[in-house]
This record gives sequence, C-alpha cells and structure tokens, in this order.
Amino acid sequence: MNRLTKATYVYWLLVMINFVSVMFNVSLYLLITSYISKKNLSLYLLQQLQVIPGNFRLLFWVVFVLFGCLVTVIYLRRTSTNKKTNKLLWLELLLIVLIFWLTKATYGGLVFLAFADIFFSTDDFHTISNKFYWLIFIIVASVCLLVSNSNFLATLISLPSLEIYISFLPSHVATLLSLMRLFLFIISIVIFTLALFTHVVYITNEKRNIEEELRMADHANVELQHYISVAEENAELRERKRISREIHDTLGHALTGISAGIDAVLVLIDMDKDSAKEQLRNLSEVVRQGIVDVRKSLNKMRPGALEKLSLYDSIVDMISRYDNIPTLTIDLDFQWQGVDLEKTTENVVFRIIEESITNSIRHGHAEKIWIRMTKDDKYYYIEIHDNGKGSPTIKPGFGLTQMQERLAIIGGTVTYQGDHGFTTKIKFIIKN
Amino acid sequence: MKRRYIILSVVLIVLVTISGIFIYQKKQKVITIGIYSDSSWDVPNDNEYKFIDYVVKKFEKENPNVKVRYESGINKNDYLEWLSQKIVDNKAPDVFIVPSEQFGFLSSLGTMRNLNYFMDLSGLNTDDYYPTNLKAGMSAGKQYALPLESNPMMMCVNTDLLKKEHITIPKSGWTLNDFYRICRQVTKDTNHDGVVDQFGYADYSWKDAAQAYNAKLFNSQGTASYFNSDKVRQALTMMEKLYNLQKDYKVTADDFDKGKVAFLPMTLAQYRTYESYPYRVSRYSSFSWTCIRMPGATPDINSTYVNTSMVAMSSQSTHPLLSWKLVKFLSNNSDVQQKLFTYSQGASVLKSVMKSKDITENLQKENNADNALTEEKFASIMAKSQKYPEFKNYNNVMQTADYLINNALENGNVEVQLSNIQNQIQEELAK
Repeated sequence: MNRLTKATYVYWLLVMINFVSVMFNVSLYLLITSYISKKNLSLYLLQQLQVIPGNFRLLFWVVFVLFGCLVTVIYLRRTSTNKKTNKLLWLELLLIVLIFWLTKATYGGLVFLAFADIFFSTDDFHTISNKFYWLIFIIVASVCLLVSNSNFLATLISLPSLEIYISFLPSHVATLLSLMRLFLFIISIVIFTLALFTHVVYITNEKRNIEEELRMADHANVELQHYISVAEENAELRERKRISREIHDTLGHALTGISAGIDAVLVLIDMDKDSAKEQLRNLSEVVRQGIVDVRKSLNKMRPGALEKLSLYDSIVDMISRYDNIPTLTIDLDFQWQGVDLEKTTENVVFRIIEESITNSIRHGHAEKIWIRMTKDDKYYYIEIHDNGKGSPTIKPGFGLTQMQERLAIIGGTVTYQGDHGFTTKIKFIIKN
Repeated sequence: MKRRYIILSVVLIVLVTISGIFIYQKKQKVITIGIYSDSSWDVPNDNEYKFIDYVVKKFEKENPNVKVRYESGINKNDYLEWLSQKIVDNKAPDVFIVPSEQFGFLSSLGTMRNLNYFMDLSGLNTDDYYPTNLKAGMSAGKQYALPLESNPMMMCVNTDLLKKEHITIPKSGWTLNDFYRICRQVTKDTNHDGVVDQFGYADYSWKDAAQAYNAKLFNSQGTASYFNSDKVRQALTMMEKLYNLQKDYKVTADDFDKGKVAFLPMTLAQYRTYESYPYRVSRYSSFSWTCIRMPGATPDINSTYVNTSMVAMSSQSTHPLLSWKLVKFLSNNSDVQQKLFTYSQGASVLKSVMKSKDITENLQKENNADNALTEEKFASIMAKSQKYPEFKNYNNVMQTADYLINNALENGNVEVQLSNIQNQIQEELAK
C-alpha cells in the first residue's frame, strides 16, 4: 500500500476533479434556472427542451450526498484488505452510474472514474492478458464513452440538456462556461491518463522487484547447497576421525593389552600355571572392559534423541521437526508397543526412517508420508509410503545403499516400489 | 427474548406509521390550481372566477382539511408563459387547466402525470364522456388529462336564404358535394347591378376541407407530413373549386351577419354567444338560422373538429391523490359540469349533463326556439367528431401550412405547388 502512494494520490485527484465537475454542472443548472426565471424566458426554454427540468435544488443536495457516499465507499475499499472489496466495487460503480444519471449525463468524465476503479482493482494481470477480457473491456469502454456524451444520449432518451440552458446566457458568459466545462473534462482525462500511467509503472516495478528477489533467493539457494555438501563432507570427516580415535582409544588399547597379555600367558603357561590362569583372568577382564568401551563408543554414535527417549518418542520428535513445512503431513502408525529392541536395531530403524523421509521430501517432493510399523510372529515390518513423484527406475545411490548395509547388520531386507509415489518396505526377523 | 424484541419493534413501527398517517390526514393541506380568467374559446366571458370559486368552495366543503388556492389575473394569452415559469421553477400548480391547443406541447415535455392508474383506482367510468373529448387528453395511449369543456365546430346555415332559393335545408349527413352544389347555386347577383352580392360560404378554410376528407396531415409524433397524399390533393382540389366560386370577393363573417351568406363555420361557443349580449346589439340579424354538422366527403366521415379544454395533474405535484380528487371533481362531477355550462360558453364533456333538462332549456333560452341546438343534434355532431392533432410544434407548423396553401389558392396553382409545400412543411417539422 505504501509503495502505491503516487498512484493513490493521482487517483484521489481524479475523484476530486470529478466531484468539482459534477457539482459545477449541477450548480450551472441551478443558477441558469434562476436567471431564466428572472428574465421571463421560461416558455422559450420549455419550447427548446424535450422534457421538463426537475427540482435542481433537491438534485444539488442529492448529488452532493451521493458523492459523499461514493468517496466513503472508495476510501473503505482502498483501505480494507479482505475479499469483501469486490462487493464494494459494485456499490461504487452503482453510485457512479446513479450520479451520472441524476446529473442528466452532463459530465462524461465520470466514466473515467469508473474505468480507473475497475482497472486499479484488477491486481491479477494474468487474467487480463486473456484476449477475450480485453475485447469486452474495450467494447464496454467505448459504449460508455459514447453514452457519456449527452448530445448522443439525448437522441435516445429525453434529457434537459445543459447546453440548452447555457445557450440562454449572454454569449460571452456562455462561451466562458462551455470552455470551463471542456477544461474540466480535459483535466479529468489528463489525470485519468496519469493515474493509469502511474499504476502501470507501479505494477511493472513490482514485477521487476519480485523477479530481482527471486534471482537473489536462487543465488542464495545455490550457495546453501554448496555449503551443505561441504558441511556434510566435514561432518563425515570429523566422524571418521572420531571413530578412528574411538577405535584407537578403546579397541586399540584393549587389543594391544590383550595381545601383550596373551604373549605373557604363552611364556607363563609352562612355568607357573597358577600365574598363567591369573593372567588369563586379567585378560578376560580386559576383554570385558574392551567390550564395555566399544559399547560406550557405539552409544556415542547413536542419534541424540535415542539416547534419552524411547524409539517411538524419538520418531515422533523427529517427525515434529518437519512441522515447519506447511505443505507436508506425516502420518505415523506405530504398532510396536511393548517391543524391546537392541540399541543397534533401534539405531538402524531410526536412521532408515529418517533417511526415507528425507528422500521423500528431497527427491519425491511429497506432500504426504505414511509410516506404518507393524509386526507378526516372525517379523517386524516397516512401510514408508509417500505421494511424491516416485521413480519408475530405481538406481540405488549412496542413501539406499547405506540403508541396505545398515539393515544387513540386523539381518533385515528392504524392497522399493517407485510407481504411485515411493514405497519402501522393510522387514527383519524377531530375535528371541 | 429475541422474539419478544422483534414483536415489540413491529408493534412500535405499526403504531408510529398509523399515528403518522393519522396526523398527516388531519393536517391541513393546500393544493394549487392553475387557471386563466377568460374564456377558453376566445369569446367574451364576464363570469371570470365564478366557476372556479364555486368549485373551490364545493371541493373544500367536501374535503374539510384541504384548501385550494389559485392565482388570479392570468389571461389565456399569458397562461402558457405563466405555467412555463412555474414548471421551470419546479413550482407548478398541482392541478392545471390545459387549453386544447397546448396539450401537445405540455404532454411532450412530461409536465402531466399519467392518470390511467388513478382512473383505474377510483373506478372512473370513461363511458360518461364523449369519446372525442376523452381522446383529446390522450397521448400515446396514456390519459394525461381529463376533459373539462368541449367546443365542437359546427356549420351555421342561413335558413331564410336557402328557403328563398328553394333549397331544402341539409340534414346532418350531408356531404361536401352538397355543400359545393348549394354554394354554387346561391352565389349570384340578386339585384342585378353586376356585382355578386349573395355568397355560399364565409370562413370555410382548406383545413375544414381536409378534415371533410379525413385527410391525415401529420403522423402522431409530428415527425412526418403527408401534404401530397391523394386525400389532401382531393380536399385541396375541392377547396380550389369553392375558392374559385367567390375568388374576386372577400367574404367575411360580417357578410353572414348581414344575411348575404348561406354557410358559416362556427364553434359552439361562438354560437352560444352569437345572439347574446353584447353581440346582439351590434348585429342586425333579421334572418333565421340553425346549426348542423360540418359536411364530409361521405356521410360517415368524422368531419367535425372538437376543441377540448382539459384539466391535468402536474408531474411535480406532491399531493397526487388529492390532486386527482380535484381533477376528477372538475371533470366528472355533474354539478360542477352543469355550473361550467352555465358560466362558460362551451359544452359539457359529460353525456348525462348535456342530456339534462336544465341544459336543454338553457340552450333554448339562449337562442330562439325554432332553430335551437338540441341535445340530439349535439350528440350527432359529437358522434362524427375528431380531436385536433397534437404534437409539440403543431401550432407553428400549421401556421406555415396555412400561409403556403392560402398563397397557392390565391395564385390558382395548388396542384403544382403541393409537393413543394410538402417539402417546406417537412423542413419545418425537422426544426
């Protein structure tokens, strides 16, 4: 709205000039009538008119009030933002027609006001590009302009023509008044043109601004993508380092200790059986400690959510992270109540679901994702289905390969289906 | 709770409306009437405001909370100008008299309200009127004014002159040929001094002849004229023959008064004032005479023009129902119509009034008994009557036509001039 100020100013100027012109014309009727009465020219006037003049004093005030209503409606329509404005537009056009009619079609400039209203209230220029729409608009506009000429209108219906009234005045006054009327009309045309021009300039600017912003957003998008891949690489690298450090710190230490211990046992076993046994007990302790360490390390690699929450809660938590995508709904059907899985298995399951959702959004552009987690006597089943683009031929990339590898750890299988969205079906055996 | 409010507010609105209507009814209302002081028929009238005063008094008595006002001192000649002024100022009288010749002008401007609705509403019986009178207030099928007084054109006959020439007095169904034959027969030099001193007619114009042939001169909108049609041609040929009978003499109504002319077209108003004061003293009519209807080309043609003065309701009136009451009162009340006959010189527009004993006696009193206009004669004249055409500038166009045709008759070249005349009239209409 603020950026429309220039066009708005010109529009209000157009409204004002229309008000001045309309009241000027009605006042002329009023004043010339009293002039004619004073000069006793009434009969002569009636002989030239086609129809009796109405009550101009009343007309003056009626038109004044109606114009007030019109201005109020225009103001309401232009300040309100909701969709009701269309009804107000019709009310506005109705008022304009009424004023035009009441003022005996003396001022054709009102047509421009009506045009401006229609034109400015059409924000959607895509529908206007429709040729049929333009044809209708041009025809209606031409007819209105033609009809707004009181001389033409007088041939169709009886009107007390203002020209006849003016012709009763002394010729120099009559000429002056006719010139003034013409001047007001021309002014209104000029302002109308200006209003249209500023409006079109505004619309064009708006379009260019949007394009510019889109281009900038595009650019930022590319940069972000780049950043993501770099970040991913970094994360992978960091993870690798961490894993190697973990292995080095835990398994490495343990294995080194074990190997040294075994060497010692090899020597001791012949000399002192008891010491060798003692040593083996120690070694066993080291191995157990190693296992604890390895488990600790593995725990560190588990998703953060799973560390504190149950599998169900962590999946729900993960899904809730997509709440900020308004076009996406994820439907979870969790039937694994009371299932106690190993940490590793939970880990794999969580990662697979996470990966599938990511794929559905990234590659399938899905708007709805269904996750069903069921089981029977022998197997656990996970089915992830989306309404996205799907993929007729499936080429397993890094993600899918990793998924298969992960599943292999827990002895599960995966199948894909790429028509009618994308469906991932997973099953793995229930361990006793 | 909500329903109670609705019922309460409805009751309140009804109460307010009823009391409003009651107060409005009780309030004294003033309606104005536009009227002129002199006769509608250009004959002397010394009864100026007697009729309207009677109407006002009677109407106010019947409608206690209504006052009727009129502006006095307006002559018929100034009436249209006065009315125009009022209309332009949006102060037109609620009800006004419409002179016959101004109906076209006033109706074309929309100064009068369409009365059809009111007529239906109040059950006005249109059969009360002579159809021609009622038609006078009609335009494009709508009744804009009700007839007030009518003034048919008649043919006065010098019966003594015809008897002297052994000609039987024509009956009401006579034709234009009879008229011509009698005129030719009586046109002669009675004292043998070489100068024709007895004539067939005076003041019979080409317009009367055209009407005798029922020749249509204009269309109803006044946009086309038909001056070179066959009927007009026939009428003007007959007129030329009549004209040529006495072309070297200027025969006037005076000559009729002197008993030297057989026929003189005369309106009823002229007929009614003919023998009355102050005319009687100035005339030395020593012959007996009577009136019959105007001759037609054939007996069944509506050959008699009727002037009708009317009363209408202004379209600017703010009291339409009361105004209609007054319009109906003036036009359809037999007491009022009877008084109008007494105070004015035309005829009543109501059949019942013309048939009443008072009126018949009145007619006989005004003229000597043997040739008086009887109701039967009047009815037969009205039966073959026709209203004047009306459109906005009928009067102006007719003036031009009159001038052109009289010129052609004088020069004896009507036949040659006719298409030229038609063109000029058409031009005048287009103005």
